[in-house]
This record gives sequence, C-alpha cells and structure tokens, in this order.
Amino acid sequence: MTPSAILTLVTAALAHAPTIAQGVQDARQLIVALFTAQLINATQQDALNGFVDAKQKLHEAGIVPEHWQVQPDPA
Amino acid sequence: MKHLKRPTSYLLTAIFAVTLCIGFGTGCNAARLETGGAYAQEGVQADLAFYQVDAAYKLAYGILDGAFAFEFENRDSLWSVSPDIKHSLDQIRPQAELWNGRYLEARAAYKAMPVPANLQPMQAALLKIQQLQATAQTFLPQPET
Repeated sequence: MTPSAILTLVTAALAHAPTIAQGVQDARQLIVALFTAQLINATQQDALNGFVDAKQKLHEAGIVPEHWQVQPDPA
Repeated sequence: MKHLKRPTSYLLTAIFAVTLCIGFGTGCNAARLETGGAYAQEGVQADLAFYQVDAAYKLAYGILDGAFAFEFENRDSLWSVSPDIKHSLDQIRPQAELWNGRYLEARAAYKAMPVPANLQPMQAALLKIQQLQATAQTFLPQPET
C-alpha cells in the first residue's frame, strides 16, 4: 500500500468522524433507554420517530440510497 | 487511526447489550418516557419497548449506512487496497436492503396494531440488521493497535 493511498484512507476516515460521533451519541442514548431510570423526553422521542418515519417513507417510495446499491466494479 | 478504536469498541458494546436486552429481554425496562412524545402520547400507555427497538434500529442502521457510504465514497482508494472490500460489502448490500425493508414494514404493521405479537417481526428484522452491520464493519480497514 503506497503512502499516498494510506494518507487518502486516513483523511477519509477522519472525514467520517461526524458519523462516528453520531453513532456514539446514538449508542449512549440507547444505553440510557435500556439500562437507566432516566426520563426520555418528548423531543428525543420525536427525533427518533422522525428518523425512522423518514426511512419508512423512502422504503414505501421504493427509494434505495445509491451507496446501498450494488454497482459495477471500478474500471 | 488509533482515535477510532475507542468509539468503535463503545458502539460494539452497545450493540451487544442491545442484542441481549431485546433478544432475550434481560431486565431492560428501567427508563421512562415523557408523556407527549411520539412513544408516549396523551391518553395512551407509553410504549417503551417500541422506543427501545426503534432506538436500536437507528444505531444499527447508522453504522451500516456509514460502512456502505465509506466504501462508496472511497471506492477507488479501497479498491487499490483490495477488491474484496467492495465485493464483500456487495454481498451484504442486498441483504441489508431486504431486512431494512422488513423492519420498516413490520413497524408499519405494529403502528397499525400495537400488540406485543406485532413487535416480534420488528425484533427479528432488527437482529438481522445488527448481524449485517457487524459483518460489514469487519470488511473495512481496521484501526491500528
């Protein structure tokens, strides 16, 4: 693996840090919901419901994100 | 990529805990839902189980989606590392679409008739999505130890 390829991958991984941070936040909220006696407020509930409802609408419309589709191999 | 290791471990721990909780019901009903939220509407019994399953879905979906997006956006670079990365994820993509659809269809059925029996297809689909998400992560370049 060349140094430039490594640099490209590291840069891409860092660019995905917001996704990882969101995943950690989601994980924390889920653990709170499962294992603590904390109150899950209406805003949090509505945000989650809105997220899944949006996925449901996409599915009902037959829309599949491009990165979920199998595409031809690079030339 | 050392900074990636701890968040990844946290996510994997969360997913393992969720699998135990939702798959085997190991005493995970301590949280409370504020009345007025989407899962605890006025005049209706709060549905913590529904919230928990949807929360677990959001987490698994997000990680799976992130794995697909990472490969898609860095395809040429990852291809130079190994064509197997794309090919392995391509094995998962149709399954992910299938089980994501099944989860959402089961969810629609549950919302139409929110009884425990209708929650089970959601839980079954969720476990499949979690398995796919765990598999997808193994095909991506791992952080250095």
